[in-house]
Order: sequence, then structure tokens, then C-alpha cells
Amino acid sequence: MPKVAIVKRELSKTVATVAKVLVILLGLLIAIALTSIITGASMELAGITLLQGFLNLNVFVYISTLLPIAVGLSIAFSASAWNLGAEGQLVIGAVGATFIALYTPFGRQEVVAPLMALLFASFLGALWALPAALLKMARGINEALTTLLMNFIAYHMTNYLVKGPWRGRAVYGYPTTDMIPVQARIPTVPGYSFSWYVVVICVVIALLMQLFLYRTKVGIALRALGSSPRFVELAGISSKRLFLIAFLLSGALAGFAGGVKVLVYHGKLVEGPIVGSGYGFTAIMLSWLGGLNPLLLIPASYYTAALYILSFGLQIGSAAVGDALANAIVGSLLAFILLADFLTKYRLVIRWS
Amino acid sequence: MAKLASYVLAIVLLIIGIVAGYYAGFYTAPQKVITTTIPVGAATVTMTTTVTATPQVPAYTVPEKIKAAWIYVGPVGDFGWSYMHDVGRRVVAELFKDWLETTYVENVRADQAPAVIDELVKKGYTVIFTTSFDFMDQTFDKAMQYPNILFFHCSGYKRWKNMGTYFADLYQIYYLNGLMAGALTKTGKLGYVAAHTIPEVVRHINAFAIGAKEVGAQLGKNITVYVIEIGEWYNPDKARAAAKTLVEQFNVDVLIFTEDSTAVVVFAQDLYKQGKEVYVFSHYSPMYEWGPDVVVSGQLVRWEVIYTDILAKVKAGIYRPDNLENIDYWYLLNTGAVDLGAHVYPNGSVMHINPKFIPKLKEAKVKDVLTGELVSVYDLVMRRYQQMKEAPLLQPLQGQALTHLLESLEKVETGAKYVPAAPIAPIFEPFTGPLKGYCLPERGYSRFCTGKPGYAEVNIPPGERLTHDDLWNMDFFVSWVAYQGKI
Repeated sequence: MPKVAIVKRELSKTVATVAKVLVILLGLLIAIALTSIITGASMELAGITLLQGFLNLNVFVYISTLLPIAVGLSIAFSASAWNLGAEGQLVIGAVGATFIALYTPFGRQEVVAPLMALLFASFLGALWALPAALLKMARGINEALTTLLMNFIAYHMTNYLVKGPWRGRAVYGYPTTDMIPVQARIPTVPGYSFSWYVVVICVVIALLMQLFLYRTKVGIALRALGSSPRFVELAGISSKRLFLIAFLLSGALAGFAGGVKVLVYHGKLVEGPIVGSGYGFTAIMLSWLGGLNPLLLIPASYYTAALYILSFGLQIGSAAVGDALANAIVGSLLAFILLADFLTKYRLVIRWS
Repeated sequence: MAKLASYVLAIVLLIIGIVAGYYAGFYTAPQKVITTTIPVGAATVTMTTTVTATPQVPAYTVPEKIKAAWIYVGPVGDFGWSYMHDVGRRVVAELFKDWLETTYVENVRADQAPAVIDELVKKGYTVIFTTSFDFMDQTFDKAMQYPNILFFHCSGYKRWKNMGTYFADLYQIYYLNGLMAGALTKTGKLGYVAAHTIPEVVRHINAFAIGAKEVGAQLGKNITVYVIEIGEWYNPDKARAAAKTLVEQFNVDVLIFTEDSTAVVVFAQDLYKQGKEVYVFSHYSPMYEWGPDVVVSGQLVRWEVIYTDILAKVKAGIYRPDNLENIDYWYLLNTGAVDLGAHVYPNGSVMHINPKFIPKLKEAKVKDVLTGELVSVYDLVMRRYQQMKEAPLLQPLQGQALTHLLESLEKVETGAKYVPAAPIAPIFEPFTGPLKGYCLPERGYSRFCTGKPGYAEVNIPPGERLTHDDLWNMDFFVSWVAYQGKI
């Protein structure tokens, strides 16, 4: 019987990076080959279709939602705060942004409206994360479970709002609110569907959080909390407070993303699962893809966003494949990244005994 | 204190980041404000829209080869809404293959639609069909951004210079199905699984109830239509659960639904195998094969009727990106965009009624309310079908928002000696008074229920025909519809 073991390996940073890039390129080549075999289109055409997904500026549509959530989650996960409720915090953030835009006098003031809406969205996002953090701190209740369940409460609360008191007057009984005033909407770039303002904010947030995590005392203590909580306590910093700040930050950033979704993409509040549409869960995967490092999350979110664009781009034109196949190709590209990550950290040892 | 300072610093930095980022972006894009006035039902809504200034666009010319794209909200394999749109796309793709190139993108969520539209425009598609109400606002935004692209949005009410709307409505078919249901039911209790109680579905529920009562009351049955709302367009599990509740708790023996899957049909067929007969009407696509023993008839849609008309006119240069503001298709049975039936034979002909149920429908005799004759229910269904199909002057009025209100005119007096009057609307209209009903709570957009509380009484006087706007804004149930709420 052969014995298989997984053994950790130490590779120099350069070698590891080169190896990763090579595996990812190999994945792309396989995807191109697959597309061309299935559609009968030439390899060249399939390649161009794939490349267009990566060069499309609309990747920012997805980056501006995924990046802030993933940055927040990286902070939380670094501190071993297992916040799986980004989806719900995002949805509640969207509710907050809609509230400011539709039901307060701020809603009709240019510049003020989107700013207030985004800040309030972040605030509500943090607030939605609070109960789980408090339960953990006071009673030791597993925060992964509570945050996960809070997602569904957020969905249903939003559904209640859009089907009940907040249902729009000009929507013919459809479960949405009315459109938010135009002053509250964040304009998009002509020819594209994202907003530079939001992209700039997201990158600034990622940079600031990088500084916070690696250059401030609290940030360094936060990261240490994951590996050695006792050490942090000995250094005289309350681990509970660190836990709380990590939790609230991740909630606030998810709430911010929810605000972005309303102000840029929907222009109104829609049903919970449609606002969230799984971004809160995708961001969990993304934050690990970026190694919980806010700076690395920028390329990681770019890659994930490009895959989203790709799954639609693949459906259009002469190298067109169906939605299911497009998703299969996109999924295999993602699998190759994980494979690359695995191969650079571990190796398989097979012994014949 | 140092710790606290750090927390505060982190939060302050976050806020500064948001503010700074916002201003940085704000001063990098020029904008202008556009005010538009859109008629929404009876009222008028004025909207102000800020759009980033676009450079001068070259004049529109009809392209040699037209590239048209469809955006679907669900998978083509749903065998309902998106599937039938795609059948329509395939028909025009084949019919106009000399000058038309088509593509589609499926499973698109509302917030993803704008980026998909960008992609389609970049790849040279100049005619874009967005086939879900969910896409309305996104399509509208993009129509303003791309003044040279022709947009057609299905089922909405927002239009623009380069954005038209279209819809094929099934209420007449639901009425015909109602006639059959009224004849077949033994308990008098009918079950309706509704996706959402928006005007479209409310109209369909009422039309079905009106048909069922017309026949059922004459056969001595006390007709009640029980409605359960599932809150989603596509959810086979919920649809099945609702159907089960209707059968087990409300003792219904006829099921009809507005949901995009075959779940309810399959459920009824399963019951049949267990020895319980519950009749069912298929929805949207031909679902006969999923329930050959229980499907009586159903509603069919043929989007190709509308797509052919639109694309032929785009090719001829009639529809241009500066004149779509009033293009609003409201196609009924007379146009062929919808049909009665549950099955399409390989040769393309439609099975209107499952042969298994024809003898039963021929046995039941009722009075035709228009003529007073005693006829079988089968003959009544066919008679009404013909009456609603024959309306030669109607179709030209059904393509524009401006002429919708004329559709309910019964005739135009000509004063000529040999042709004293020209008929417009079909001889028969299901929504003709006397009708009694009640307003749905939290709505109020029709002339019957605006400003009234929920459950306020609605009375439509004898002989009054509801108009296009009444149908489009319908927010009341007829009195024998029992709404059971949402699951």
C-alpha cells in the first residue's frame, strides 16, 4: 500500500510567486482550450474573449462591493473573530442608506446625501454585528453561528420593509421602495457602470486598514490575537476590546458596501436576498484568497471581479457558452488559484512500503 | 488612554477616507441634470436625473447587419419565462438570419444588468431587450447613457427616446381557463398559486375567477378562488408547498398558477397517480407532458410575435433611437402573442384543450351571457376564444402608449350608409360590469382604490368595460377571491 503524506515546504518568496503565477497561467490556458473545444471557436478567439474579461474596466463594479467587505473580514479573521455575517451587515447597511436617502431631509441635498447615507450604512452595519460580539464576550456563544443566523434575520427584515411600510408608491405592488432622490445617487462613469468615487474610497480604505493592521499598536495586537491571545493580554491590552473593534470594523465595512449597492447599483431598496446576492459570502472566500492582507486584497478582488465579468462575457458573441458552462470555467479558474496556493506551501509525499 | 486614542484614530481615518475619496471622485466627472416627466398610470411623476455629460454622438443610421441581444433574469432552462423569451429569440434569429445576429445572457441579477449592457454595447449590439421588470431602472439609466442604442424593456412602464416597452398579457386566457375550471370542479373551490400580487397577477387571478363563476354559478356551484402568494417568480419548492396547502387545507380540486416552473403540474400528476384527481392549467410554456392526466389546458406565450414586429421595424428604420418614447406593446389574444393551450405538436399546431377532458366539457351545458343560447362549455370556450381573437382594428392601437385608451371602445360610428359602425374591441371582454370586489391593502393606484383603505368595496356598474389603464393598475380582487396571504 502506498502511503500519502502532505508535508509543509519552505520556498523562497520569489520561487513561490513565480510558481503561483505559472499555475494560474496554466489554468487560464486550460480555460481557453475548454472554451474553444466546446464552442468550436478558434483558440485565438476564445483567448481574446477571456482576456476581455480581465481588461474590462467594469471589474470595478464588483471590486467596489467586494473589496471593502473583504478588508473588514480580514481584520476580523486576523483577530480570530469569525464574522460570517457580512451578508446580513451588508443588507442592513443598504437599509440604512435607503433610510437616509428616502426618509430624511438629507436625501435631497447633493453631496451630503450620499455621504450621510454611506456613513449611516456603515454605522448600521457595525450595529448589526454588535449583538454577536457581545454574546461572545459575555456568554462565550460561538460568533460564527450567531452571525450566520443574523444574515437571515437581516434578509427577512428587509423583505418586510419592502413588502410593507417602505413599499414604493410608483412600483405597482412590486416589493421595492421608490427610487431614491437623484441627489443621493452616486453617478457612474460614462460607458461603464461603476463610480470612481466609490473605487477611490475602497482603495483608500484598503490602504488605511493596511496601515492600521501593520503600523499601529492596536493593529499589531489585533493580528497577534489570532495566534497568541495570552501574549496580547500580557502586553496589557484587553483582548475583549480588540475582539470588539475587529468585529465592529468588519460590520461597518460590510454596511458600507451595502450602502454602495443602493446608491450606485440599485437606486432603491429591493428584497434582502437580491441586495445581498451572496457578496457577503464571496467576500469570505476572497479575504482568504488575499491572505487576510488588505493590500493583497486589491489584486485578489480584481481577479474575483474579473471572473464575474468573465462569466457574462463568455455568454456573448461568437465564442458564446451558456451560463452553466461559463460558471464551470470560472470555477475552475478559481480552483487553480487554490491549487497554486496549496502547491507552494505543501508537497505530496508518496511512499511505497 | 493610548489604546483608546488608537481606536478613535482608526475610526477617524475611516471617515476621512470616505469623505476624501468622495470629494476626489466628485470633482473628476462633469455632470448635467436632466428633468423628465413620465406618465405612471394616471398620475405623472417628474424625475430629475443627473447624468455624466456625454460627448456628441454621431447620427443614427440603420446598420447593414443588426445585432440584437437579450438579457434574461433566469436560466433559459427554467421552462417558463426566460425559456419562452428565448424561443422568441430563436424564431427571429432564424427568420431574419440574412441581416440579424442575436445573442443572450442568462441568469443576470438586477445589479449586474448595467455591466452586462456595457459589455453588449462594446461588442456592437445595437438592439437590447431586457426581459424582467427588475431591470427597469437599470435599463432606463443605460438608455440615457447610450443615446444611439435601442432598448426594449419587457413589462415595465418607464420609456425614453430610445427605450420602448412591451408586454404580452394572458388575462383573456386565464378567463378561458376559468370557464373550464368552473365546469370541472366538484367542490367549487379553486386554488391559485401566485408569484407576487402585482397588478399583472391580480388581473390574472380575477380573470380566472370571473370565468369560473360564469360557468360554475350556472351549474349550481358556489365558486371560491383561494390564493396563496409565494413572493418569488421562480421557486418550485414553494410553489409545490402552496399547491399542497391548497389541496389539503382548502379542499380545492383545480390548481392554476403564476410561477415559472412545472412544479404545480408535477404535483397534480403525482396526486393523480395516488388516486386523487386535481385538475391543473399549465402556465407560460407547454407543460402538458409533465401532467398528461391532469393538465386541462393552459396559457401559452409567443414572444416572437412581438420580437418579429420590433426587429422588422428596426431594420426598416421605423424604430430609431429618437422615437421610442411612446412604443408600448400591450398584445392580447387577438395578436397571437398569447394563446390558449398546454401543448405544441411537432408540426407547430397547438392543443388548446387536452382531448381527455373534451367530453366532460361538452356534457356541461350553460347559457351564453351575450346571446342567451344554451351551449356546451366546450363550445362556449371556443366561441369566446374566437370572439377575443377577432378584432381587426385592435392591433394597430396596441403598439403605442398613446392609443391604449381607445382599445376598450366597442365601435366607431362612421356615418357611412353601408358601414354604419366599425368594431374595435372584441365583442366580449371578461372585465365588464357588474363586478363587485374589494381593494387590496397597502396599494391604491387604480381609480377604484386610490386613497381608500384596504378591503374597501369596489363596484363596477353593469355594462362598464375596464380600460387598458384599469387593467394595468388593477389593485382589487373580485369578491369571490379569498386571499390567504404569503408563504
